[in-house]
Amino acid sequence: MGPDRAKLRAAVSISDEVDTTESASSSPLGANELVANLPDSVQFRALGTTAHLLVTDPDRLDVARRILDAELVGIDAACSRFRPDSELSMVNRSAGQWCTVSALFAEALSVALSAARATDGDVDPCLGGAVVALGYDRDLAALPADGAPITAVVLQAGAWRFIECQPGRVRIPRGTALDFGATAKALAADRAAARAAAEAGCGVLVSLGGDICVSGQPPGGGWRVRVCDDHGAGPEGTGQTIAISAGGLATSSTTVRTWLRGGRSYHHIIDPATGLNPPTWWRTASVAAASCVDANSASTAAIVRGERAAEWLTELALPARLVRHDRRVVTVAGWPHGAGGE
Amino acid sequence: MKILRQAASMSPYPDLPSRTSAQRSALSRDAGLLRIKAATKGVTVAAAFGSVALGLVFAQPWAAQAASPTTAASQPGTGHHDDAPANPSPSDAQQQLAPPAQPPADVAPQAQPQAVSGGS
Repeated sequence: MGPDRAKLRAAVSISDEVDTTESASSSPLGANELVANLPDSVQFRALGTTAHLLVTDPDRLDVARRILDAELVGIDAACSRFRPDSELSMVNRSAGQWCTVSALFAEALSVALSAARATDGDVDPCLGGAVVALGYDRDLAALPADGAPITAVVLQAGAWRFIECQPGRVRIPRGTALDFGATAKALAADRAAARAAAEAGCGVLVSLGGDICVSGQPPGGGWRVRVCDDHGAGPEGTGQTIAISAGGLATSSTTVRTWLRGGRSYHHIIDPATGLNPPTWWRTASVAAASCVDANSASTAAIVRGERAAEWLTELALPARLVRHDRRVVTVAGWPHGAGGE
Repeated sequence: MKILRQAASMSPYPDLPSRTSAQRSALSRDAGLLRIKAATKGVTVAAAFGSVALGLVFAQPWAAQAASPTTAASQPGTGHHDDAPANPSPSDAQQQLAPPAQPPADVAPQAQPQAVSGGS
């Protein structure tokens, strides 16, 4: 059955971004309420970004932390594009040949391919060459302030369909390179949250650079999350505060993880059809889904899809908050309209 | 702007494709005339390209794996490092991203956020 266009339109709400310094979360609760309501947490650097772990039972924080640490070590060793000894680097160096891989790498590849299928290729795990061609060839912190102008792009749209997988080994097409940038962090968040909640026996929130997964019994009213352009802006960042009780929440933005080449700004989200950054229709896309992988896949695809994203997300019933380049906010599929700070 | 593409000769798969309708639909964005616009030194140039070679070499490995007993993809959040190796799903059918059990809820403006979701 085709989509009901009138219903879809009704599900999309457009509002002015009214969030200002005054309406940002500048009204903290009283100290006693904070002590009573905030679960214990720990924050640290991992995977080139910030990891944030919260638990509803402070006594179980150490248990959850150990699990998260193990997941981060595993994901980094399997999926890092910047570690020459990672499995991903090994597979890329061996393009065209079969490579023996771990179960974790196979799962990460499986998740990346599922994301590609679910987004009709807009989230493409074979953009390793394209992102390097645009200048993102080392950890962001190590990139020079500027560099030579970009003179070539890499087009390999659809190459992900030719990746071969057998138990314990994979082969990618010659001339291609994997990049799990859109799914690996989210997978780590999903895995860590699920395992930590199960083993710690309490509610857990794992955030890896703003890619969030929650599992277990949430605190009353759900986990309160500030949604904004840059996770580094902290709770005071311009945006909206919402609450989630299960699943994943992810935000993709064209305003962070940027670099200059030839004086021109580039960011990490690439349209596989062009090998270039997509036209900036949305500056930021936040999506809630059943898992962080699904949320991040959808938010990344929304940036790539541009104007068509709102209708696509509505059809999938994925609640989303899309911020246009002029900062107007579009909400779809049940995302709250913005009393929480907008 | 120079465009570097995967060449047919670079593919490890020698077979020509036998596409299903679903594959044909999914590949439609890749095949045919692809117009790339790229800005170089302030000048917008447009280049037209023929079929993406990759679209012509769809091989049989997925079909072969479909008969394999170990084709089920593991789900995020359930696997462990010492699990039996997972295998990506061979199905080329469109998958769907699953919505949350319940949509996000609004929060009173004075409530202190516990975490931040933003670009990174």
